[in-house]
Amino acid sequence: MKAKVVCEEFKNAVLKTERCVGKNLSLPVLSNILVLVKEDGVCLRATNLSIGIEIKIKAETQEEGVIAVDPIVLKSVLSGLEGGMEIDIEETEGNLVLKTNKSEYLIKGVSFDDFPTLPQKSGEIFNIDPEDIALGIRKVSFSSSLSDIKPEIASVYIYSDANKLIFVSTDTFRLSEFKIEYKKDISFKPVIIPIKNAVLIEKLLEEVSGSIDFHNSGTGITIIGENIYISSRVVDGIYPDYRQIIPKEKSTTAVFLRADLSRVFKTVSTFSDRFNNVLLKINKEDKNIEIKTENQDTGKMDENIKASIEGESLVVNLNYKYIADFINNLNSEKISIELTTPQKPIVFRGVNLNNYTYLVMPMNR
Amino acid sequence: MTGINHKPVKTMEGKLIWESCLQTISKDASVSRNAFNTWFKNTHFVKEDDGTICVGVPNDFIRNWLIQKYQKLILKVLVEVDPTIRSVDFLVTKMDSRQNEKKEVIPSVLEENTLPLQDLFINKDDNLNPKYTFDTFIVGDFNHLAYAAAQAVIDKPGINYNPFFVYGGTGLGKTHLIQSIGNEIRKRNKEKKIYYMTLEQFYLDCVNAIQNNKINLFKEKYRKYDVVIIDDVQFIAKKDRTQEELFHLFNTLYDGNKQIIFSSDKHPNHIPDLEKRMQSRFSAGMIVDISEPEYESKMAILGAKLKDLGVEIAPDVLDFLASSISGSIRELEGSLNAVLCQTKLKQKELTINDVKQLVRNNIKPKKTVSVPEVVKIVSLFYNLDEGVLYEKTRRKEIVRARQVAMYILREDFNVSYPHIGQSLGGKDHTTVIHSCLKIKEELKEDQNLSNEVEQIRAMFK
Repeated sequence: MKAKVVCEEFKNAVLKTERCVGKNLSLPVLSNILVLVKEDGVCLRATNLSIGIEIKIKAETQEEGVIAVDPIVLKSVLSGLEGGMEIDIEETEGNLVLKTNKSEYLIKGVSFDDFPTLPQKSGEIFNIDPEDIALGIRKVSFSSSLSDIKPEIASVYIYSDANKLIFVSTDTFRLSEFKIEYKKDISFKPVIIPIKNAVLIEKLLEEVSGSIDFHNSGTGITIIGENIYISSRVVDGIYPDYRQIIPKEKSTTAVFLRADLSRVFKTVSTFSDRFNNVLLKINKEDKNIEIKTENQDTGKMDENIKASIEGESLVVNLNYKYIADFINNLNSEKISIELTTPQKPIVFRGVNLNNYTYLVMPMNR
Repeated sequence: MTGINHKPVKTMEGKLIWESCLQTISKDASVSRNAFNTWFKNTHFVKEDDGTICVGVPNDFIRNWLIQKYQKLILKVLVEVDPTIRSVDFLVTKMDSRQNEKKEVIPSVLEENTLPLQDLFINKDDNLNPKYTFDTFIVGDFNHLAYAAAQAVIDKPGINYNPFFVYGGTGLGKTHLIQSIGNEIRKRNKEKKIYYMTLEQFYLDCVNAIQNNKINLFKEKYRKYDVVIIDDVQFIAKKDRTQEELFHLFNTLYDGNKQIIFSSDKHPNHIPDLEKRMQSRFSAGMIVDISEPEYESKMAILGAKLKDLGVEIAPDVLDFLASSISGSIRELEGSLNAVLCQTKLKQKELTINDVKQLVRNNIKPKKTVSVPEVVKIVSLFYNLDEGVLYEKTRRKEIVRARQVAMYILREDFNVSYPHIGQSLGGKDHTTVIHSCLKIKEELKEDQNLSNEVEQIRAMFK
């Protein structure tokens, strides 16, 4: 095989592909990436058998061929080369040779007989802007469970309702829901994407332009963009009916500035205990929220932020990290929280932002 | 398809075919061990349809690669095993074995402390489970006294019967009773602060408090309650510091006329390694036992359970369950659930024979016990040396204990008279008969003796 590629493009493609490389599997060949030189360009492939990716870049092909190499070696070589340069890639005796006008590298190749192909696209097609998928996953993925015990919630759940595409994830202590609205009604076959794959997909789609085809066969999804092909496993299961737990009533609503809360949270970490527990005291009379926390070793803090409050005064304990996760992802200057009783979930929203809902369970002591 | 000679392959056969096929493939030179583990290990037989074997695989990646690389090999091996097979197909399915795998839940720090999102069943203020109420509590001869005492406690918490100590075997409704008391007191008087915990919770709390140097907070924590309910208090054995804390807590609550309720599976006098001062405090109020339900009560329990579930079962089946399952109510409910579940699965009424088959495992085999074991327990109960029961002596306290041992051996374990006599110091079988009759007669009049026998019996469980 022999081809000429632009260093920068090649490097970007290697960096992206490398994310999907499998580790510690019984099939050692999967820890490599496969470089396929075809007539219409160079294609890089990697998979860990849960998610697989192929990225295509432009190339002047002289001779077609395939080789598998260790991505870490390839990455370190490419990061040492200047971006704008053109590189000749060539296979000699099972090794990959990279040549520029100044330098020459030889990277040991690996037998690629066992390197699998990616599943073919199949199932229903949904045409969508890649930015939408990436945005939706980004907004909710932080609240997913990370343990494998319940695979159906260690995931991002995507489904459609009328003209909305809805992304959900929960770890049973908190839940986030993000909706993207379209002009027309859509029908998107519900899918549960494992969280690790969802996060990868989000990162991989960030720089994809144009629109993508989202294929969902029920057992797997395939995302096809201009120069990218992603195939991922999905979770076979039923997502919990989370809408039931979103409280319908509220007894207290408090609205405050996000900047105020961010400011307080910068110091909260110093004074919170190992459970990240903070106490929120919503004072109707004083029109403020008191934030208290105490740590045996460092001391205690007591902060007040202004808030407009409707309903009763209330005290809740909660994990401040959960709130911090949410405000980092929120594009609104004002936050509203709705509470019912100290045992019921607390609903966080951005003011005037109805498409993003976040639920947190209070702590029990 | 030319399926003329074809006969459908049953699931079992299909499994065997696939298994032998996997074995052959694992030995095939073209498939390395790593490749086999990656691609073949988690596959399983799904179905066979008109000469096509359908194989379940865990995901699309594996399906894709099996089709591309191994389909020919698989088909070749399959045809060798069963010539009627024409083709092979792969389906992405959930692994059966995966579902059966027991997954251990590792509680994280967060999980202990934050409420899960599901609606909670247990009330966090008092830790009581609202499903335990007197509405669902069946009163029969076996728990009548306990029930009556509980009502008295509810009427005047802290004044009547303080502390209230319930003991009895496992699965007889102790927890139900004491939680119901808590729920009922709360229902009648919302002001009362009630707290329910198991001894283990108390113990863990105590350990944590010591660890974090917060023993004073710990002491304060429970003293604010009006009613404190502690379940399974027998686990206090050997936990000296916990005993001490419980002792102080008890004194504080008792002096403040706060109601204290305990449950245990043993009488306080028989909880091993319990300090005397705890023992006497447990015994200070009212001690009641819950014994095993008799037939009528069991019928009533089953009836109530069925009504609760809104299903019906043939009377003869109920009768069989009530008469054959001895011991705990929990087992009784378990057997009933098994019957209901099977009925649902099979979508037809179960006959009495089906039920017999089904609950066979739930019926306890007749208890067998060796003579030395009985002697050991009886002598332990009467604070005697084990050996003296075997001696030929007529010291009054020893004679009494020996007679009780004989009676229990005969009545509960059906040991023959001569064998009892032989084992207990070479007595004649007539002596044994006499002893048993004597105890039997005395039991009718002597309440103390019957209590003793009951307590000894409880120690066998």
